[in-house]
Amino acid sequence: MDVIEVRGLAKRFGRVQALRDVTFAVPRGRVAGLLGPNGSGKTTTLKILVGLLRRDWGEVRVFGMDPWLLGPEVREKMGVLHEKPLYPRGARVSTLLRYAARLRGYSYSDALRVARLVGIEGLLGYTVSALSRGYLQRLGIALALLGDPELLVLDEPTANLDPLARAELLRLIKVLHRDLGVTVLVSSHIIPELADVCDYAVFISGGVTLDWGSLEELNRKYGVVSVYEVSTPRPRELARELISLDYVYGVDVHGGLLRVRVAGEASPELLNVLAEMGVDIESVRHVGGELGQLYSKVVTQEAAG
Amino acid sequence: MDASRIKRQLKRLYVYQRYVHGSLVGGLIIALFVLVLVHTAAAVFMAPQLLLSAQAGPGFYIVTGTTGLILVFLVVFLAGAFAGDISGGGAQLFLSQPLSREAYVAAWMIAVLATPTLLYLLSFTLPLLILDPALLGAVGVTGTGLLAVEVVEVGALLSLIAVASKSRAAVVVLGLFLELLLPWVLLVPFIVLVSVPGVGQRLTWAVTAYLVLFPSKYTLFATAPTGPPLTPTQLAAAGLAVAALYAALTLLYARYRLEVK
Ligand SMILES: Nc1ncnc2c1ncn2[C@@H]1O[C@H](COP(=O)(O)OP(=O)(O)OP(=O)(O)O)[C@@H](O)[C@H]1O
Ligand SMILES: [Mg+2]
Repeated sequence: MDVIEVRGLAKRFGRVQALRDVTFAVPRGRVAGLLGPNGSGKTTTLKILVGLLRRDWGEVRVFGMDPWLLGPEVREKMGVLHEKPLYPRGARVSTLLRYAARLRGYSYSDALRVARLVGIEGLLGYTVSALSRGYLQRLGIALALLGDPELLVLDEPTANLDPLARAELLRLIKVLHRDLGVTVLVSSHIIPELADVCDYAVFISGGVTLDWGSLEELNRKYGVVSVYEVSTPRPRELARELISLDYVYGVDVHGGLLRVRVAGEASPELLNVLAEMGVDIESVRHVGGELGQLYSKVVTQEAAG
Repeated sequence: MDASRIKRQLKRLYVYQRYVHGSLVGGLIIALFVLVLVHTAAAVFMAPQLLLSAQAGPGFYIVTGTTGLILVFLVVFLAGAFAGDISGGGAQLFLSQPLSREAYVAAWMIAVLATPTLLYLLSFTLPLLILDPALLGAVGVTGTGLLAVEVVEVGALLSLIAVASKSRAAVVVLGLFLELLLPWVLLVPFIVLVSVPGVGQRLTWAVTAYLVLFPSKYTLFATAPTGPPLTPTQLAAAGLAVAALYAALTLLYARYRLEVK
């Protein structure tokens, strides 16, 4: 089932047509990247999904519900981090966490748990005006994680974070996804970061979605290198066999794991070859690709035709 | 809408209004302190005269006029804080939680118009009642009651302006204009025309409309040749109906229009 379904979304701010035709879906359990240049409509799309902005046109369903009309029901299952998180002036960190938790039917101790998770447990007595930008961002992440949401909507979540906090957040997203099956929609400009966590992508430009889907499908469709992780009891022999295939660009061996780089359009052939090897293959997993290359191919191809 | 949904929304409204009141508690306490102080002092100093004549003189009305002004300033300030919260404060944060726009707006309306009015009425009646219940009889509740109605009306109108404009400055400027300037400006033609023979009678509708919007000016018309067109009770009912209309419009705006950055 698709957690998010958007069809033909349009939104205008005065004279600016921010969204023209945004259409995509995000299936349950995916980590989806929302990619597009500045001003392409990422933030506007996310705010419509949260129910803060009203669409002018189109269909929006989150968990099968319209977020503008059934906001509370949608947001019970959703955590949100805004691009520019706003906080009431003079409010204490602890107060904001306490009341946000209560609105979700959670207690202050649950709020403390997420505060510790993002490393702001020492700042609970501070007012928000005393926090650095990085800590304001962490508070936003804590608020998004409150109440164990099934869906996380993150608008440039690593902005203002130091490298360590950045890496930690990306790790956290992976853990939430892997262990709790949380669905994530994350916008970012930093393509390597997204490549690290996403298995799904939505490309948007000028208020129009260009394409969307799993990275595996998109890599195949646009002929972009895909990377598979193959677990096998005899890695060296297998590596030698695979590298001889002309659509395999490279094989790295890490113990019993092979990382195989393959031409995207040939990935079905690779999977067939691996399937025929039978018992020698323990598992095959698509782990990524050249997201930057995919991005430029999607943009140029759509622009051309 | 099923019952459990409504119940959940009411619970969240309750949680959120506690947050709103908590964030405003400093201003509310200062205002309450000043109001209680002035009202108690007035009651104590004027008690002998009030009990003797069994009716309030101009001295007491000067006091309630001043404290009424404090109430007006308080409501205008709180409505401004409401607008500020929508444009750049907590609205984004709390409306990203499972709180409906209607509950968000309702919580703020309680804080903007109900809480200050209630505090005002308590700060007025309690000192009188505690000193001597007969004092309340002498002073009467018409003046403060009608003032409270007027403030509720203005508070509801300013709430509507707050959600529609999201601008603290617009709310504050309009609030001060509505309460400090407009009623007096509108009064000028009445004062001139009411005493002109033959014209006064035809002003009844205008006077009624004026008084429904500014019930606290009732006493100014009590001595007019035509007399006030409505009783204080009728006036209070009409004023509260207008306030309810503004409040309903505010909630409808929240339901169908209010967008948050
Ligand atoms: N409140 C607003 N009023 C007027 N125009 C707006 C408003 N919000 C967004 N826009 C315009 O809508 C377009 C899309 O903006 P949006 O913020 O959704 O883009 P974005 O993809 O998030 O950009 P960025 O990568 O810079 O964050 C832009 O042209 C922007 O100027
Ligand atoms: Mg943005």
